[in-house]
Amino acid sequence: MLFNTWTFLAFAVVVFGLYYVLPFRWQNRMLLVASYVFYGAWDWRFLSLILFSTLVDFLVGRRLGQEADAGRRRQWLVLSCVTNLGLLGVFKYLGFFAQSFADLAHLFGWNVGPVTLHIVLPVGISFYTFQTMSYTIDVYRRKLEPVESFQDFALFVAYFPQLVAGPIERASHLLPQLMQPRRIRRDQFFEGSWLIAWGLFKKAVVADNIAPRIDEVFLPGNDWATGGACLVAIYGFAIQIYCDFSGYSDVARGLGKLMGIDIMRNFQIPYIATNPSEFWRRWHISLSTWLRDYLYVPLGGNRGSKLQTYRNLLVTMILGGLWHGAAWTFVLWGVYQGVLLIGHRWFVLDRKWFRRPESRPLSMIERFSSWFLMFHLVCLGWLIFRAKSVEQIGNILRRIVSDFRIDLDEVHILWPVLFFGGILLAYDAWLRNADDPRTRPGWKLLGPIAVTVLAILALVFWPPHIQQFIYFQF
Amino acid sequence: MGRRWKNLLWWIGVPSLLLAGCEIAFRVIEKHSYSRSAWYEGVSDRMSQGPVDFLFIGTSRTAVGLDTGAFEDEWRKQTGQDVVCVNLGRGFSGAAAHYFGLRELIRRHPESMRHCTVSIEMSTGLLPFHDTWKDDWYFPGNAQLVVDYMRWDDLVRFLGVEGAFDAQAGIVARYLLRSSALVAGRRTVQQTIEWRGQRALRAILARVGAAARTNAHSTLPASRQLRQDAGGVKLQRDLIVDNTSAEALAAQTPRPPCDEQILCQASLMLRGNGGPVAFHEVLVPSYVWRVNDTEVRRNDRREFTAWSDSLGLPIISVPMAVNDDDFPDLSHLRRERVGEYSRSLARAMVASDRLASERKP
Repeated sequence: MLFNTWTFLAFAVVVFGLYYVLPFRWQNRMLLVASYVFYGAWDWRFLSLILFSTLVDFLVGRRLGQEADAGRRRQWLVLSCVTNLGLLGVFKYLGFFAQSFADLAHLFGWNVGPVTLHIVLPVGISFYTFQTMSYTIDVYRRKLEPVESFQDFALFVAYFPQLVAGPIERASHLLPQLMQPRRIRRDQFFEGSWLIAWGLFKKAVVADNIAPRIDEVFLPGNDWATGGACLVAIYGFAIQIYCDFSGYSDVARGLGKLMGIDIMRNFQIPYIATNPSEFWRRWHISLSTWLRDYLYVPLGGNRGSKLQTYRNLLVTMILGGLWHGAAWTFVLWGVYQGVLLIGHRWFVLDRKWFRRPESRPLSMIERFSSWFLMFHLVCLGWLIFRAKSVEQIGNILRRIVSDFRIDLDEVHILWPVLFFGGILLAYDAWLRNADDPRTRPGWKLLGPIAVTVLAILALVFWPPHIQQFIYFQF
Repeated sequence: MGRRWKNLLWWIGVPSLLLAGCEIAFRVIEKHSYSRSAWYEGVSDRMSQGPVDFLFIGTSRTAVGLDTGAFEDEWRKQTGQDVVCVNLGRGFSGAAAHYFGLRELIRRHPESMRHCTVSIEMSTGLLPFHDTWKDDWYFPGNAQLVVDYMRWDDLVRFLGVEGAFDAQAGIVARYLLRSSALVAGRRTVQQTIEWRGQRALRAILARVGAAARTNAHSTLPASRQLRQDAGGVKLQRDLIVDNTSAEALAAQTPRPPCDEQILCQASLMLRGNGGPVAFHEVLVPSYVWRVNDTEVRRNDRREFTAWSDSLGLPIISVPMAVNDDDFPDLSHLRRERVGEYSRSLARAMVASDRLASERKP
């Protein structure tokens, strides 16, 4: 059930209708049932997975709360991690690793035959697995008291607005909100409505109108696109993935606000970042902070030597890359992001021979060149992320370098990127990702015009074919 | 007036004015657009002014493969009669859209339709759309075509079809709001903005020295939104080639009985009004023949021929030799051969005894 469908609209009308008339405890019961209906609409069989994961972590959490012995507590934590990561491993990575093993064996002349495992990837498994693991780890670390009510915990794991594509919520943030009666303030209602509208606009109008042109360029065996078209397609994908994913997050947050629930912010204008570290503080914030808190820091973070810090960064980002998908391009993307972070850390903090005085702010030119360089490094990352194979990455880069020209026959690729990218830029530059656009200068005067123009654009450019959110596959 | 009221007025007045302005602008754009003027509304306008002798309906193959000027010219040469013909072929239109359009023409101009020959496209002896009323009978990208002439009972019938809730809700919403150009004309406006935007962009890029690469695809007809760029042509070719894979051929299922197919019912409806009906063969490359040369499709062909024979409906084949090079995207006839096809079709129609008896006053 996708947010940008009539089916979801009907579902939301029923859910919100009930939500506003039911008393608190019944609200949670109804939300839990609704969340399972929402998830089961994809494939009801996978409900058993989410239920199993919920049950294990709930019980482990309870035992961790009762257990005083450090060794026993660690065993319970390992049980939870093995269960969650085991499910993720089987459903997401088994086919990939089996095929990679077969390929490797083939390199050594050992023929194991093609490996075909028809395992269907359950929607959102990476998201809810990380969410439920964060609960167990926080309870283990005694940062969180184990939850008493199974119903509340199950709702925390399956809460439908952010179930299938995040933001990956922390138990310490979401659980207390689910366990207490909620009052919806007027400003929350306005913010929620705005976030839903803006999120749907970004997804359905901007991302989905650009997507078909980008897909053409990335078709396997594409031999016609010029270097110019390839470059435009990479810029286009940068816009598409941002609008697709941040659009989902905005709708999720908007739905939450309409229930009086605050879901964490996942994006903060990422493409204005001037360095890799800043980029990861602005892009998929819920994942980057998860990786920092539950992987990078336990690995040692920056507490050891420089080399150990670099290793920790690299390992974190490789696993972050692999979290996105079971393919070597994602591993490569993780390595690339790791190398960028290491390079940035070395350049800014670890160089002895040249260090910019921290007190001196960046000049205009420095800021612009940092932004320009960072944006293109991010785009290069998106090429790795989007490509179907390592060979395609090389092919596209080769064409950009050796066959760079603008072909009038490829205007249909450039047009949507410029048109929809321009609309996005205009709105984002003004609204600055504010939850409440009323806080932005000029809103009082221009607000009605901006909203109506948005509605008319949505009406005209709402695509006839509904496309899945990119991050659903993760 | 208090600040609050002023604010409220601003929030109601400005959007209302903008929406009203757009509604007017959309109506103007739609009135002059290809979508409206070259579709059934345009034919209806023409029929109000004078007779239309031939209506060709079908897919983009008819849309881009038939030059009505060449057809009329050849008909005049062969028979000495001046005829008016309209090409209603359209990519992704669907059987129901044509059915509703024809039904509306019969309603508005029953007499004109009695003298107008409606020729329905065929390729390899089969109809291009074989939807029945039990199917989801519209293309999502062109839903408005179906809604334009839909009646309440059509909508009820559509809701009875076992289909996706989203499709049904979308059609209902379009149906209920179809009198507003903001809804009914949105696809037209979208295409107009895209087309004009791309044209402006091309002009700007051409001024800074960009050029179009020379390729064989420019020989595709330039009209009616057919993609000529290398990427679009490749997509079209891939689609056709994919259909010839062994798996695709093995997965073929028989078409529904002719009586149940919407286009066949459309021909009976036209016949019922006393108007002549024919089927014209469009030219296709060997790939399309390969797709339709299976046992399943041979049976379908036999069934259709038997059905049309039983009703005495003429099938007009065009004796013109083509090869795969005449179809740059493996689907549409090369521009250079369109005139020749149109003239050949006119000659074949003149020579058809069955059509002559159909067209008898």
